[in-house]
Amino acid sequence: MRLEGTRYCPSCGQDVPLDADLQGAYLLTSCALCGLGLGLKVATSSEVELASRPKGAAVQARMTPAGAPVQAWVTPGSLAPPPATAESMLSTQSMQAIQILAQTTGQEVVPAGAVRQMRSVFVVEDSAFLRQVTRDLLTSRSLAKEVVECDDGPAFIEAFVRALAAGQKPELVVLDVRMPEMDGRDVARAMRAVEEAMGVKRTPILFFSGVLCDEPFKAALEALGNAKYIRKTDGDPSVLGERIVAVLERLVGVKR
Amino acid sequence: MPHGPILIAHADGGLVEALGASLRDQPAMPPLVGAGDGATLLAEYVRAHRAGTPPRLVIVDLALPRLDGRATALSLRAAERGLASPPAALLFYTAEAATDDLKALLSRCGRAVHLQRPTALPLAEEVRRLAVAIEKLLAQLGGRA
Repeated sequence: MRLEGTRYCPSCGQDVPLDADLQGAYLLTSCALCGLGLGLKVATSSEVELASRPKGAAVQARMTPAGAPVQAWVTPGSLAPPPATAESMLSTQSMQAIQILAQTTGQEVVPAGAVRQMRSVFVVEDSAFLRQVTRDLLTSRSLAKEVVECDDGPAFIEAFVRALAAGQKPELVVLDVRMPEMDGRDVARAMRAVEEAMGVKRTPILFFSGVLCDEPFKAALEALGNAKYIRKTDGDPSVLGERIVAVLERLVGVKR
Repeated sequence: MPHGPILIAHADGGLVEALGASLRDQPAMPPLVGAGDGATLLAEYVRAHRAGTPPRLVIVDLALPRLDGRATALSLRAAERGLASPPAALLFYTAEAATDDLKALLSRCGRAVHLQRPTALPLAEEVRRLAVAIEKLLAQLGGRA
C-alpha cells in the first residue's frame, strides 16, 4: 500500500513516496521508486486488527475499520531502524502481537523482516578489507551461516565446482567486478556454464562493485539471469547494509 | 579412464568444421567437439568430465565471444582443480604472435603451447598442418585414444 508523506531514500537520493507491506506483526516500508527497504515497525494490537482484516479489503494509511477511527499508525518519522537480528526483533511486544494475530487468523505467523539464514555464501573480492566487511555484514545480521572467501575468479571457480560436485551448492555468490585475474562478469559467465553442465539451477549473484552499472552491464545482468547489482559507493555506509538486505530479499528471499 | 573428445573453441567456424572433417578420417582419433564461445567450451569440458571421458586436449582461440580465450583457459584450469582432474593439454591457436602477455598466460596455465595461425595459407593446407600438430601433441600425451 502507498503511505502518505515522503521519506529520503539514500538509493534514489531524494524524498520519495513510501510503499508499505503489512506482513505478520510488522509493517515493512520501502521506497516506492526503487524498492529499497526504509524501515520496520512492530505492530500494536490495533494494527494487528488491521492485519487480520479480510483478504482483498483496501488498506489505507488513514482509515476507519469497523466503525472505529484509527489514526494512521505509521509516519515516516516514526520508523524505527530494523533490528539487527531475528532474535532481537522478537521482543515481548512483537511476540504478543504475533500471538494475537495467530489466534485471530488461525495460521502460523512469521514476522516480516525475520531473517532466513543462508547456508552458504561465496564472497569473491580481491580486497581483503572488503572481503572482511562483506563477511561481517553477512554474519552480523545472521544472513549467512558459512561465508567462503575467494580472492580471485579462478579460486572461486575452483571452489564453486568443488562445492557443486559435492552437492553443496551455495545459496548466493557476492562478486566484485574489477579483479586482477578475471573480470567478475567473466567469472559469472564461467559460473553459469558450469551450472548448466552440472544440471543445477542458477545460483543468485550479487555484484557488489564500484563499477558503474551502465547499459552494457545491465544487459550482462539480464543475460546472466538471477543477478543483481549494488554499487559499493552508493549511499551512506550506515544504510548500505540495509540496501544489501533489501536487494537480497528480492534476490534470494532472505526476509520472509 | 577413457579419453574424451578434443575440444575446440575458435572464432573461425569454417576452420573448426574443416578440422573436424580432417580428424574424422584419421584412425583412433578422438572426436572433435566445437564450441562457438569460451563459456560453451567450459560447459563441454565439465560435461565430458562428468561422463567419465575428460578431454586430453583443448584448443582455444584468444578472441572469443562471451568468454575470451584467456578467461576460458583460466576457468578451465580452475574447473579441473575443482573436479580433481588432471590438466588437459592446452593449445592456443591464434592469429596473434606470442606476446609477453600470452607467454605469461601459458606459464600460468601450465601444460600449454601456442601455435600462431599462418596467414595467407589455403584452408586445406592450414588444416592439414594443424592436424599434424594435434597428432604430435596427442602422441606426446601417450597414445591417441
